[in-house]
Amino acid sequence: MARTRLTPKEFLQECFPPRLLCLISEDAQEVCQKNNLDFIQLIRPFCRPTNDLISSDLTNRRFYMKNFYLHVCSLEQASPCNPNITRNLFNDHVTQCVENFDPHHSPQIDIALSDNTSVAVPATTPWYEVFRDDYIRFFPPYDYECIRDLLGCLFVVSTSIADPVGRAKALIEQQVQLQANQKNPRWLGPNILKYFVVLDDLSTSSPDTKVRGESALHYFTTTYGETNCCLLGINSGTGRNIDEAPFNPWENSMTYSTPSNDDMASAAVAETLPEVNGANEAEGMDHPLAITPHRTVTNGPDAEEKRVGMLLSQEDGRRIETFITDLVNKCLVPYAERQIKILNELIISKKGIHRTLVNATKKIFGPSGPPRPGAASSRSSTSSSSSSTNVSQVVYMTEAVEMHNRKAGDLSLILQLYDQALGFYQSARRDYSSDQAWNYYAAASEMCGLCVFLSPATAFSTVNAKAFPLQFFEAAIKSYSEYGPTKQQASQSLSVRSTFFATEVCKALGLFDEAAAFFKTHTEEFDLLSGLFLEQAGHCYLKSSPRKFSFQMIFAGYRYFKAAQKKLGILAYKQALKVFEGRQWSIAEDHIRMNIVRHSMLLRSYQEALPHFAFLLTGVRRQVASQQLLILKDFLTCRRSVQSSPDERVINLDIPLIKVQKIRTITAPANDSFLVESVDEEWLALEEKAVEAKGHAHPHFRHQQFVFSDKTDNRHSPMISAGEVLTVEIPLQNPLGLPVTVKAPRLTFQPGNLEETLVVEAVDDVTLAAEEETVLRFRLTVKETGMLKINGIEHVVYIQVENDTEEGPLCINARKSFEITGRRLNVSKADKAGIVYTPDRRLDIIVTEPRGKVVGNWENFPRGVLSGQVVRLGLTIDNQGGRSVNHLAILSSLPHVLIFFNAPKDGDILTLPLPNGSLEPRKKVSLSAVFVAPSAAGSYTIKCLLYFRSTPDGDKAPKYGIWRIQHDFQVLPGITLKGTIQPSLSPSQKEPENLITLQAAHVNEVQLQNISIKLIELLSTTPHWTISNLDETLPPDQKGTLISNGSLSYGEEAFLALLARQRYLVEGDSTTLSAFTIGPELDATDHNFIKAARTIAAFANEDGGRREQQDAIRLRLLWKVTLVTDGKTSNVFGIRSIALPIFTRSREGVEQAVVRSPPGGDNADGADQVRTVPDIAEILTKVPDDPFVSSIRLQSLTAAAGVDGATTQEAQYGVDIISWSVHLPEVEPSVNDEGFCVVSLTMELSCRLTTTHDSFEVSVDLRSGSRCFPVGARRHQVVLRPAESCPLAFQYCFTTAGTYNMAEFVLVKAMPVRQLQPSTVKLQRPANNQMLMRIL
Amino acid sequence: MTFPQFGRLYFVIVGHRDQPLFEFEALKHDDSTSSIPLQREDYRHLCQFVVHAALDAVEASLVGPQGSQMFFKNVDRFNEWSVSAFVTSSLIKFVLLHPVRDDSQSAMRKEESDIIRNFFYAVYEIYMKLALNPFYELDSEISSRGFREKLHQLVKKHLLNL
Repeated sequence: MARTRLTPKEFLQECFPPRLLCLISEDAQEVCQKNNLDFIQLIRPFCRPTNDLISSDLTNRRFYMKNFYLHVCSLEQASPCNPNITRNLFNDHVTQCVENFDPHHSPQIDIALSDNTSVAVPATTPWYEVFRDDYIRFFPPYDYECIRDLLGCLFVVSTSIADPVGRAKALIEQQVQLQANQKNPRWLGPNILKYFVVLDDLSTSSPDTKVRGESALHYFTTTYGETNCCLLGINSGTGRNIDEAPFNPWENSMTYSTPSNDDMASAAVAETLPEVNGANEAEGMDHPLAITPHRTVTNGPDAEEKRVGMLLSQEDGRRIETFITDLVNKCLVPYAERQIKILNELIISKKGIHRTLVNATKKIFGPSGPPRPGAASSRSSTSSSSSSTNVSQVVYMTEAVEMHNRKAGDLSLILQLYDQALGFYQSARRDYSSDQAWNYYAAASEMCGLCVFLSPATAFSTVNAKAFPLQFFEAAIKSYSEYGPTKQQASQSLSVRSTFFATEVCKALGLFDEAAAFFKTHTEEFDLLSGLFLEQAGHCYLKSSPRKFSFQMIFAGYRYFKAAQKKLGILAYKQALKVFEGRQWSIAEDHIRMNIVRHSMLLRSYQEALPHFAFLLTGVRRQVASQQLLILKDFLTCRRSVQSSPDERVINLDIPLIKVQKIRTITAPANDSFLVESVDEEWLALEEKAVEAKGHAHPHFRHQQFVFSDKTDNRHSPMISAGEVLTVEIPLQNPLGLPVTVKAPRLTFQPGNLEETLVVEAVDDVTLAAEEETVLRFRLTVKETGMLKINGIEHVVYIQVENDTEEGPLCINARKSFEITGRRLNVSKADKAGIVYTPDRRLDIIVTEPRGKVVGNWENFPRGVLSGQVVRLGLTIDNQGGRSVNHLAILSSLPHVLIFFNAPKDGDILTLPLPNGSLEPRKKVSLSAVFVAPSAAGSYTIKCLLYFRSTPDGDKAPKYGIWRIQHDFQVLPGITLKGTIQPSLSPSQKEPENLITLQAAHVNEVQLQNISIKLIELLSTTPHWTISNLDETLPPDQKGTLISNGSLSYGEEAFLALLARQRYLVEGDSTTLSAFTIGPELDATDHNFIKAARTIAAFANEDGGRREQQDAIRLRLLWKVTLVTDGKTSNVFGIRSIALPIFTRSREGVEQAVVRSPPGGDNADGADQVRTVPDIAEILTKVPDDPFVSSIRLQSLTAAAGVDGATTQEAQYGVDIISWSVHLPEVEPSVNDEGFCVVSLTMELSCRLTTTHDSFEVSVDLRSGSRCFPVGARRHQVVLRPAESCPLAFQYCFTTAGTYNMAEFVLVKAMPVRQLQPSTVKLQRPANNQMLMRIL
Repeated sequence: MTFPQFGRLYFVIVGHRDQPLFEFEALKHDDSTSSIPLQREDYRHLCQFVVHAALDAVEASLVGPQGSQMFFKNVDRFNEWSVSAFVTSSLIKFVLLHPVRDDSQSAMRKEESDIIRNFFYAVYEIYMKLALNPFYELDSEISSRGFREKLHQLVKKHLLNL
């Protein structure tokens, strides 16, 4: 619960002071009015005596009374108010209080949220206190209690008239009339306390008045007792005396008593008037509160202008103080004690009779029967109207026996005799309960609760809070709400008052949850009250459950809005928002903000509404479009009102959202696909290499940059030469659900010298659909040198209004200034500790002298190529600068794939020839190049750096320029080529000869599954080695069948056996390269390609030849793929390279080399940057160099197949279908002088099955080992019927002596002919796993 | 505030900072014909308010005597709504808003408790699968469409009879 001005104890004590009526004669009033005060106002500051006040209970125990307060009221104040007026009064007081409330300067309380953050909310709710105090003060009288009844009457007369005693008698008469005839004010008993005050105006004092005073006092003393009268001398001050100015206790109490706000008072009257009906007109209109406005309007402000109490001296004050103390101590307390005693005696005497009577009736009519009117002598039934509505309404007469207990209790409570009061109340409570007088019962219960809490004997505090009997209050509230006066009858509910008490007690005891429960039980129609209660309930949750607090605040705010307490509602919603903020409860947060905005707008506090629009409009789309439009309109209204000058029509608006951080500045005029935005290490290495080679090396090398974006380092300004085009890209996003049109966008610049000469291409209007994103592209041409700073954008936003014909589209002149934050630094310790951003200069452009500027693009560079494919490329070079370029070079990240003709090479840098030696401005030239795709499949990125120098001019501009071209391409697998080389060792030959076997395979099963690759030619690019085809020498039936037509289908392999002979070169004859064609028929394109290949080889050799060692034979396999697309055929040519190193004879024999081509070829030095892993097919076809390993691999393979077959084949056929064995020669062959021996072998194949009718297709594959290879066809196919057998002859060439297991080299597979599924191909195990052949 | 008779369900996963990670509103079949979709906008925020306020009660139950449990039935109540919750071991909270049953149908209430528990465990299972996804960061918003679809199925499977 919120903090309050009074502690709960103080508040509760103050609720029930002893009340006295004050009847004043006009003359006495006049005496007081000299001070601009009436008598009650005069004595009010002294109504809290500070002296020791002592009361004693029935057992004569004495108690000091603390915080004692005497309530003296005029006749008007004692009468109940019109409920409508009070309600308005409450509203007005609360409004006034909220107006004066400053949330920033009120005490704050931190509430801890779940994620260890905390928010501060105001700890006080003064409006609640104001309301509560008003509610208690203007509480109407009820029959169920006597505590607010008047104890007695003060009669005030003055000595200024001749007969004060006579006047006093008239006043007494008036009091008697009041008590006898009128219902209000209510009196505690017939025998009231009477006290007489004779005012003596000392300022006009004369002996005459003195005598009159003395005689009057004497009369009162003798008639009413010594303690019941007082002669009070006032106005002893001199008025203008400055010394006495500080004595003025009235100033503060003045405003407290009467409402003085003109507005609210007149509003109260205005609102009352239509509602006033006959019943409460008479009662309502003559009430002082109703006429207060008129009174205050006439003399209120003027009276306060004058000094209050100027004739009153400190001495007067002391006299009044003594008077009050005497009144309380000598008169009031003894009177009350006396009354208690009398009542107590009455109770004791009547108890016996009453009880027996009641018990007798109860016995007769049963306990549950309705209470019968007249069952007790003093009991009467209620009026007919209320009895009809509620059967259990019981009303006691004022003097009824049942009320004695209550009265005694009330008097004890007033005298702060809490224990005694509790005793009386409890017995009263029991009585009422048995009488089923529930309202009385509730009132007594409530008082019991209060007494228990206030009693010093019980001493309840937060320590023993749980033991506190809250059930007193619970019972009270329950009974009140069930049996209490209905809404029409009761302006202010007793249960509400009980709630005030109960919650105060709970607060004092720290029982916040219980307090919240009390607050929440009320579902009042009175919105303000409901709102206040909900808010207090929220405050109860503040410490324990902040989220519930926010929930309650939402409800409170809602009720406040209904009660037209907008400011309070906004305040409540703001508290709730603090807990919700930034937690993505988007709909809830929007709801809160919308309400804040709406009501702030109504209150015209635009400044308050403004910050919330940003969240509503730029967040994720949550509202429907029409709602967004309304918000937008509100925003514009708000914005205009807040703006200092109404002329300014340009609004800093975020619609559409401009992503300032993502602005790009491009100093090159090319389109997006050619621009390299992220300059990585590789680029830097290339640039550095080029710059170093060209002699511009600088210790602080800084690369040149064309794109400045959020991904680049923008510490340095973009540099552009005069006359070049600069592009600024501004990304936009429409955050609304409505289409938004951006019209006439233009950039704004910081004033400088360049704007006049600046040419900006006009940008079209852009319409963004809901949530669409787009980019505004501005192209600027700067003519002069200097500095250009772009600082913002101005545009007109049009939003089409749907279903609204009266208004045109919303049209907003908007501007947005660009403030770009650079990257956060994280280098030094200071950077890491703090948050430091680099300056971002991407919009501060330096314009330099004109210079050359090369923009290069590739022409027809394919995105997908086959490995080794050869493509002719174009490189267009465009000089877009202002001066001619006279030197151009290129550097590539993949230097071997690009071949430029006639380009001198220096390391990796190629100097490109320019026609006529230079390139004039605005001229274009196209250079041709050849691209040979890398042999390994995968994704590649080729980065080419163009380096250029323009004609020297200008000192500021850099001496050189660069241009980056990046191209991504994909290399698809095509042909793999692998081979072995072994020296032919015939001693007769002088020149070394080498036997080479090559194996080419088609491995592309995706793109070229049904397309064959044609092999054209085999070319030796090593000029001193000639090659000749060995196959030519074989008889036709032993030729590889696949080679015969020269093309390979997918999965096929071709084998070439060739002989390489070394020859001695004649100088300058290096171009005649040895080659032989493979395919039988070649067309014209093939011949062209053969020629081209030689040219390419020549350029590739130019450096390669020098670098390479003598001991390698480089072979190139030329191939072609004919593709048919849409009826058109196109040829794709390619080269597959292999380098076979030559070894010399070693001691044991001859070393052999098996070379695989893919990573080799002419890129054997591994310069290729392969991004992906090599093609999987190639890994699978890889044969390990070690024959031992290979044999293991094969064996395990066969074994695995056997196991597999055991389950499937045995189920089908029992065992392997084919049995086979190789017949080994009887004589062990030996290697001949030339280092090899060819052995003819035969194998026997037989079908084991006898029963089925299937025939089997048997294929026999002959594999090469590391030291042996088959001669002739590598695959043989035979069809075998069941029980059939056939021999098969083949030849193997062995190069080294040793033992060979033929089971490793021969693979037999079988497949039923009729079976269509290829999966039934089964590997057939040999009859004997060890077919060892020994070569000597 | 006038509150409509809720025949609907609102499910939300709440992260460590009290932020909703995932929201799901389910319309019961018999309500789809009524005019509820029109009122829908009006009290969607109320669902959020109720759930957010109920988080206090959920946390209170966590430190209470039953704190080791994962499933908390009817931790909070608001008008016609009851709030049930499920707290995972990483303190992610699943909260379900469902209509309050009549007190007289105590047998049904027992059954209802089982239905909601089963639903929560089923959601927990798919949530765990989501959390295993290396691309999902714990305590971040769940944008997976698959998750939403699966949850939709779970709601259909478990909660339609609620």
